[in-house]
Amino acid sequence: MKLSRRGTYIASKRSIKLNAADNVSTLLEEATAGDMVAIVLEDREQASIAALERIPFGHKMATEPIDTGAFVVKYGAAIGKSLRPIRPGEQVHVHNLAGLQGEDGE
Amino acid sequence: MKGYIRPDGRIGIRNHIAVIYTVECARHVADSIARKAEDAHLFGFPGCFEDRYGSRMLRELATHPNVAGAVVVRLGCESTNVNALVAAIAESGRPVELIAIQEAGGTLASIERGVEAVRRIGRHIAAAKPVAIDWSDLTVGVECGGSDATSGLAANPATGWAVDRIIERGAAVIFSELPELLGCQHYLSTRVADEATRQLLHEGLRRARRLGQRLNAFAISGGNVEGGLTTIEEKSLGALCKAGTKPIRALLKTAEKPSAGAGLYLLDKVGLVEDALVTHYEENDSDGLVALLASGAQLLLFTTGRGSVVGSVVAPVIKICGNPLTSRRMRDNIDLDAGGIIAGTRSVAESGAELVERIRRVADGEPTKAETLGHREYYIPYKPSRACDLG
Repeated sequence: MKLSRRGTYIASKRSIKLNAADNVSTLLEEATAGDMVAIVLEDREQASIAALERIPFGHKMATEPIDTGAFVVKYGAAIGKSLRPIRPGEQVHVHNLAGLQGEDGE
Repeated sequence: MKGYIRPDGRIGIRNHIAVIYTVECARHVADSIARKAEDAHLFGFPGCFEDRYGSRMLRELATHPNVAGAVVVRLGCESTNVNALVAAIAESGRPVELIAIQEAGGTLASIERGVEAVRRIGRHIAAAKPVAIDWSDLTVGVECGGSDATSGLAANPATGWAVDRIIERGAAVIFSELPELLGCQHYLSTRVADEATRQLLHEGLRRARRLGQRLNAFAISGGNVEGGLTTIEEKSLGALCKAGTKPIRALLKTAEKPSAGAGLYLLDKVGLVEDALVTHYEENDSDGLVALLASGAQLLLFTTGRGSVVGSVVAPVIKICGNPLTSRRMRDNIDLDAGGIIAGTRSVAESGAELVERIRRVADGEPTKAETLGHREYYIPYKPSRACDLG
C-alpha cells in the first residue's frame, strides 16, 4: 500500500514486463479498477499506471496506447494484432487481441 | 567441476552402471540386479520385436557419457538384436556383460550372475580417477512439464537467462518440443544461425503443424485462456524463452549430437507425418528426457509450474519451479524455487544466476532432489520407425 498525496491509501499491484520492447505487462497479482499497477522490467520499476478494469493474475495489461491492427508485443515479439484501440491500463485478452496464425497461408 | 573420461573420449559427470533388459520378460531379473547396487541404473525396451527407435535408444543410453559400464539382461528368445547392442557397448570401450536368463537357468541364477557382473564392473569403475572438466565439456538438455501461468513469467525466463550464460561459458544446450513452438515461427526464423538451418526449421515446423492437425493437438486450450494466455504465439514464446536468446546453431535429428561446440541446438523429433502410423512426437515428459539423453545431454533442466516429480535414468535433473505455492508444497522435489520472481522478492537475473551456480554444483557431483529421492524414470516406447527420423 502506498500513501497518495491526499493521504489516502492506494493499492499498488505489481506486473512484469518481459522485454523492453513490450507494450503489455503481465499481472503478478490481481488488480481491480483504479489500482495502481507497477510495471517492473528486470529489477527496475519503470512506471505505475492505473488499471481501468479488473485484471486477474497472469493476464495482460496495456502499458501504452495500441491502435487497431497494431502489433501487441510480449517477450519482445508480436503475439498478435489488436482488434480495436486499447488504452493504457486496459486488459489485453481474447476480446481485443487476435493471433497472427494463418496470415502467411501456412 | 569434475568428470570422468570414457574410453571413447566422451566425458561424464556421473559414474553409473547400466542394467539393461531387452524384453519385458527380462525386466524383473534386471530390476532385481539393479536394486543390489547404488550406482546401477535400470532401463530397457519392453518389445519382443526389433525396433529401430527402441534399439537406438538402448544403445545411446548404454554408451551415454554418464555410464561407465553395462550389464545386459536378455531372456534369450526375443527377436530384438541383443548381440548388436552388446557389440556397440564393447566397441565404445565400456566393460559389458551379457546374462541370458534361459541359459543361466532362471531367475535366481540370473540375478546371482548379474549381481556379480555389476560388482566386477564396479571395481573397474572405482579405478577411474575423476578429472577436471570445463563448461565446454557440458551438454545440457532443457525440458518443461506441468506448466502453468507462472511458467512463461518465472521458471522459463530464469532458465533462459542461465542457458545464455552457460553457452557464453562454452556449454552446448539442447531444447526440443518443436510442436510447442508452432506459434512463433517468424520470431524463430530470426534466431537461426544460417540459411540452411532456416530451411530445416521451416521444414520441421511444417511437419509439426501437420502432426498437430492429425492429432488435433498443440492448439491453445481453454485452460490456457483462463490462465491469461491469449494467442498461440504468446504460448509458444513462453515455452521458447526457457532456451534463452542465443542463435540456434543447428537442428538435430533424434539421437544426433551437437557437433559445432558451444551454442543452442534444437532437437527435431517430429517424424514423417504423411505415414499412416502417426505417433506423438513425445508421449510424456520421460520420453522427452530420454531423447535429450540420446543426444548426449549429461545434465537436464526441467521447468515446471504445477509441479513434477520425475527424474531420469543416467543423468541428474534440476527442477526449476516458478509457482511459489507449488515450490512450497513440493519442496522435496523442487531444486530451484524461482517463485521469488512472482512474489517480487527476486529478479529473473537473480534466479537465473542462482541456477547457473546450481548447474555448476550438480555437474560437480552434488545430487539433485530427484537423485536423492531415487527418481530414475525412463520411457522407451515403440515408435514406428518411419514416424521417427533418426539422426
